[in-house]
Amino acid sequence: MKQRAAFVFLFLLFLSTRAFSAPLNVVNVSAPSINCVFDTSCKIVVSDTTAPIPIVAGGANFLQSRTYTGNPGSPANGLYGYEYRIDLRNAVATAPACVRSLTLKFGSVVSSLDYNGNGVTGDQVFVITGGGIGSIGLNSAVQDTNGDITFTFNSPVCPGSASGSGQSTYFFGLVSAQPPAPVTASVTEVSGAVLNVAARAPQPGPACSIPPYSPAYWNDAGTVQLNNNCYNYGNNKRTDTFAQPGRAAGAMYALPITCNGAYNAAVADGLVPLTASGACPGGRDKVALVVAPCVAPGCAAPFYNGNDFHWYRLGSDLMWTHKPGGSQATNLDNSFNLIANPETANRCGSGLCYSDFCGYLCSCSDVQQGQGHENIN
Amino acid sequence: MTKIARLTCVFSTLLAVVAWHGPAAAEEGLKVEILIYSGRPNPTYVLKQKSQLDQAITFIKKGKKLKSMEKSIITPTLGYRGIVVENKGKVAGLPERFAVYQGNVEVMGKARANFTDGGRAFEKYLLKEAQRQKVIDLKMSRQLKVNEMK
Repeated sequence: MKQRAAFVFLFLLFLSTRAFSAPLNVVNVSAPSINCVFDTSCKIVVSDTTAPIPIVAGGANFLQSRTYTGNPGSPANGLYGYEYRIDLRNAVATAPACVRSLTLKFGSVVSSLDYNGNGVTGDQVFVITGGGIGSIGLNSAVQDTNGDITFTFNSPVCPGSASGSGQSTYFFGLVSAQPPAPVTASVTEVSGAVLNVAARAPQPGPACSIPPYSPAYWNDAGTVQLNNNCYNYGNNKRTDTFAQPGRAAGAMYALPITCNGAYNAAVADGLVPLTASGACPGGRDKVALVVAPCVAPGCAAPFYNGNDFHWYRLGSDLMWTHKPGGSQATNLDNSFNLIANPETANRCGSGLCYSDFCGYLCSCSDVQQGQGHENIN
Repeated sequence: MTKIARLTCVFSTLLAVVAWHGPAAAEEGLKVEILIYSGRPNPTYVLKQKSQLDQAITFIKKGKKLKSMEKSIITPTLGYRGIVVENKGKVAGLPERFAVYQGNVEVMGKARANFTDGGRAFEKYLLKEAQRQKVIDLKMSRQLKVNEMK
């Protein structure tokens, strides 16, 4: 029992650290093979812009923003590639003016691609350490709940004592579903000074808002009700496909379903982790995940009977509601009580019990029923 | 019996046979869905053999008509909550869509009506078929029967 309590505590601690800032999965790649993610013939057409970084140094220096589109037939079809590079090779400084990190607002990062070709999807940031310009890579890439990403270099990027003797980072990149737009990035010097630099990053996504409890839309006893499940309802998005966590991102959970498996699959879809006491930023809606665990010996391949996931969503009235499968949406739990807290709601029914409470996430929902903005299917 | 009467009788019989064994019925039969999951798709199977369809019709015919209920017999709760049968093959003698749960049969849709399922015989039959067609295993079948059908 103590072990289980310790596990739950550690799991919640893990979620809480993820809620405020989430490290992105960084992989090293080479050019031109990285281009094959975006084009079947491994050739991409790029758009480059540069902007000077106002460090105290002579000579030329710049932040480069490079964008391109994923072409039909490629894994990144329809998506947008973004690469950045800080170039101080021709900057000349007598006093130290080295750069430590770059921060910019990026929004939702596509997590369903395999950049380094190891057969595993889930890569989020790639660093072109082979076949390209530069010599300095990334120590980390961390995204906060506002969508801002801080790229910290694995050593300071410094100007030289003469033109041509300074340093450049490698190109590092990531992918978004949103097209480019001008933004102001922040470059932080080793001294702590923060400098604003023009860059390009994804356009902001759609505005998120919190839906009211309005079950009539879902309870039509027809197409909407029967083909949209708890994950559709939780995200307030009608797909008519009985949506599954991770399916849209190509990172669906595996059977038997576990808290970690379903939670991570939802994160791959774009939902943002949150602590129990946390409030979702940016008008996002708080949703909760529970799992009916696979309990041996009754639960085994191929049926995994009794193993399932379920979602609740927080309404604008601060009460929780849900939709059990193709049944009606409801604001009542299995004891027919209103749901003030999904952690204490009765979640046990005949044949299976959703006894594992997995945690909370934030979903970009909408006040209009069925019009949520998460990419689920 | 006159010749015309005999011909009419034969023709009517033929029509009945066509209606019963028509192509749609043979191909699609009854789609049976065990309502148990929330996130995963529910276990489903098809009844299309003549003996199975006969059995289903017998269960429906045995049911006594009840006063129409205000609420559906399928409640929006977690866990097992009944069985929905969709008459995909437009099998004569069966409603287009109906639910079976806890001793009741509910004809769904506009022509809503309620009938009894004495001894939950129809529900037990459908669960047994689910197990026979290997969409749920023996343990789950037993668990549902133990919990729901005392």
